[in-house]
Amino acid sequence: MEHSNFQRIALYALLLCVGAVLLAPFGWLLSTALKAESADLFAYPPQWIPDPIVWGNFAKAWDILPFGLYIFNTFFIAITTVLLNLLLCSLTGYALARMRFAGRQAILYTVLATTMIPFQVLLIPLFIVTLKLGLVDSYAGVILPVAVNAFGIFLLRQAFTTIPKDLEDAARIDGCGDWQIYARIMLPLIKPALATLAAFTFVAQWNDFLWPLVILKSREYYTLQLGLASLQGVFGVNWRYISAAAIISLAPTIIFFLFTQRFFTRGLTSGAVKG
Amino acid sequence: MHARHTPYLFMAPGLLLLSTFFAYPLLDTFWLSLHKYNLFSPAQFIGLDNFRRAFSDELFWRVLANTLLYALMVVPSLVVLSFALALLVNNVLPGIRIFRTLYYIPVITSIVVAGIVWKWLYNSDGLINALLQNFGIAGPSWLADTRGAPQALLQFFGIETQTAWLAEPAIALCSVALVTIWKAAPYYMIIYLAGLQGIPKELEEAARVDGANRWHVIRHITIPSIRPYTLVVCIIATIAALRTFGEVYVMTGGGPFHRTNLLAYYIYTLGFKYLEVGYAAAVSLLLLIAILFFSFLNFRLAGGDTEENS
Repeated sequence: MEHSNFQRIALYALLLCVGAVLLAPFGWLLSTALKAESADLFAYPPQWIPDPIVWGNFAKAWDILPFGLYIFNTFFIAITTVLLNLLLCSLTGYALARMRFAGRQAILYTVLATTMIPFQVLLIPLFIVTLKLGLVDSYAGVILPVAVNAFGIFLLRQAFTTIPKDLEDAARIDGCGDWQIYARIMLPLIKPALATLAAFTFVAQWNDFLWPLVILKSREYYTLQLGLASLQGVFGVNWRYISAAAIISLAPTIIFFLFTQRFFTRGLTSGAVKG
Repeated sequence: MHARHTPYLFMAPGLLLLSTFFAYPLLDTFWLSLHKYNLFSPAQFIGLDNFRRAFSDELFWRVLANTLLYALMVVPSLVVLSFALALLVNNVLPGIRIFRTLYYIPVITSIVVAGIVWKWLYNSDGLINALLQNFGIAGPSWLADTRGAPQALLQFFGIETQTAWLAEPAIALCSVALVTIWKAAPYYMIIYLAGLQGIPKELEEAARVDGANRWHVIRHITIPSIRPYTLVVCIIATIAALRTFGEVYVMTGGGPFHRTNLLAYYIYTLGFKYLEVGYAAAVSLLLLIAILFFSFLNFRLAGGDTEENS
């Protein structure tokens, strides 16, 4: 639809207002993190631009929480989870998409059905399984239960089904085995779907809270989110440090998202309805 | 062709993990729900006592009511708001993708960060109340106010009332719901956007030629065309609302007086604070039943509507 100049200006104004409302909470968080000890956080009218602007709250937050360790833990857990998901979901999705075998439909429908059952329902028995396997309070305990997920299997299965059969036949004539066809020919062809799964999994793991909260006890394994949640008690009510710490843990997600955002919208729209 | 066992070899690692960390826990939930168990002493079979206990547990009913009220606030708000957002960012304008990206940021924000930000905004001397003060309104203590939101609104306009049904939902629960709505609306916006972009342009143009105005087009073409997307949004948003945990954990801890305690949080406290593992499993199953029931209901309502229209 074509817009007149007046309509355009009105639309941009509306877009900016909505954006301001959606993002104002972050603006206020940043403003709080940059305020000096002497500044009144509850001043009326609210002071959006701190005077003076101080960076010391970030250093202070970094002193109080071992952010280096938490960032390492979070990164390690997120990356490992992404790699395991790419491998395991693609293997399972590949078999479901391109091989004929007894029980294929049954397995596919079972995998799909599992997406209806939320994690929260299984929280208690999942903890018990992890306890029995001796994985409580370890990286493996956080990672293994989320190392493969039904949504990922389904997403990659859909991607594999779109590849023409001829390609597979040609490779077979050239003497490729099943593993080679999967690894050398099929995987490179579904790179966009793999990227989508990787981006989603990374952010989901970076932000995950409930499962790490239940399974991790020692601070040496804490993720950023756990550390951040534990802050509220530590600082009493010094909102400057809490805000600074929140920004430290939010910044990597936003940067990562800005670079990979096209995979997010693609994943959402391909997984949601068209599947 | 591949050997007979090849597909199973490909699937083995994935399915093994899914069985261990999904299928087994699901079956174990049923078993646990029939037992009294605290992780340390041996489990003791007690039949359906855990379920009987839930039905006579006042707190369970309180939490269930909170959860349903909460879903009732969150889901319709999300359908309307995310649809409106999608209409807005579906306009063909230079730079529109930048807005889509920026709007999406609350979605990728972790619940801990979101909870901290909003707890700070909701502070009784915080930003929201400062903004209200501009209009001469003394805002409540958002996350701690047990007054019913309808009651408080009437009170604000000078009408004192003690009617029981106006006492729900509590202001604190509405405040928690707003955070969920803020954080999730752009997610559903993207789903709706995909729906909007799938509507053939000719349909809209033809209506325009016939003299339909913007509102008519939305009402009679856009909304019916994206019905499948509305169904998806309703189902996902309902499930998400029923399983809400982080907002409660970070912002209120279920308080004040359990007025923001939701089922997922209740299960967590039962299991990990009071070690009432069997009872927690029984409540988990009731939550699962609620989720399946509402998903089914969504399907039925959507199905019924389409039949009506055809």
